[in-house]
Amino acid sequence: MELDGKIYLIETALAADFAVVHAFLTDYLGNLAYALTARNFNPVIAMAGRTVIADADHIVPVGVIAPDHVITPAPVLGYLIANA
Amino acid sequence: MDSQNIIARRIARELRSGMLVNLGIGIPTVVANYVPQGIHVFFQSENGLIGTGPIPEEGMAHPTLTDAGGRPVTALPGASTFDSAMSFGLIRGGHLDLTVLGGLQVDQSGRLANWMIPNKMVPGMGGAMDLVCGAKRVIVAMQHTAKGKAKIVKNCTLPLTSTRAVDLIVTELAVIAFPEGRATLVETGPAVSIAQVVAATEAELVTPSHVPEMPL
Repeated sequence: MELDGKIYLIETALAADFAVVHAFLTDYLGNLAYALTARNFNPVIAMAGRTVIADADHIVPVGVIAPDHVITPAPVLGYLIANA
Repeated sequence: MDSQNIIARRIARELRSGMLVNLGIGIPTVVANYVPQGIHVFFQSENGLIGTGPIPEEGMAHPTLTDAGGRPVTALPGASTFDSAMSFGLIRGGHLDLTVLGGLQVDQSGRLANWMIPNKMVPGMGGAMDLVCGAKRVIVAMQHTAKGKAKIVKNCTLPLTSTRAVDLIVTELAVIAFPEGRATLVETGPAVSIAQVVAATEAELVTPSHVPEMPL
């Protein structure tokens, strides 16, 4: 496809029935924060999933993750799997 | 010095302080070992890290800190991590000063093929297409030939990575640039003659009468 005189390949966005993501931190609302390069595709695929399931290393009380440090906001999340 | 280290050392001389640089897998990775003293560059791993440091010592690998190939790395003070969309936004948006990539073939106008060999299993293109299209400068680091067969060819027989020409090829035999879209010999490798380079190159090569030896 040509746009402003340049040729581009168009790749349409991925959509998924389920997105399974791994986070470093979550709270009881489901806000997610990630660790280092384990962030990579996680917040991106969370946005592409109709149902989002997360597993996190640590679950903390609401308010512990500072608003500036939340990467995936709670309403995106459908289910949280708690590690035993 | 073996060919891999000759290539990496020569490319390291292209680094300038403050550059954001992405190194591909293979010979390009070795460039990080030869950053000249007093030069500070930021290395990007396209999985989401700027400030990539050396490979950690045995037993010191961090489970959530890897390069784009999944190998453990370290993060230098001042490093930053981000998601893949941000990482490729940096590349596509023209924020990357330099990428160094491996190559399977380069044609005589500088177009690179480096992502697949038909009928062979490939993991995918990875970031190659975005890097070649988006980086301000593209350097190909590769052996001059593969099993005696020229890799710098008239026309690539392998699928191209991008139609954009690369800026420089560095091999153990030569440094080749593409002024006016034509492959031009700008330096020869250590103790390598122009005739040796021409013999190992299928592409039509512009050869000035005087070609300096590459500084290492």
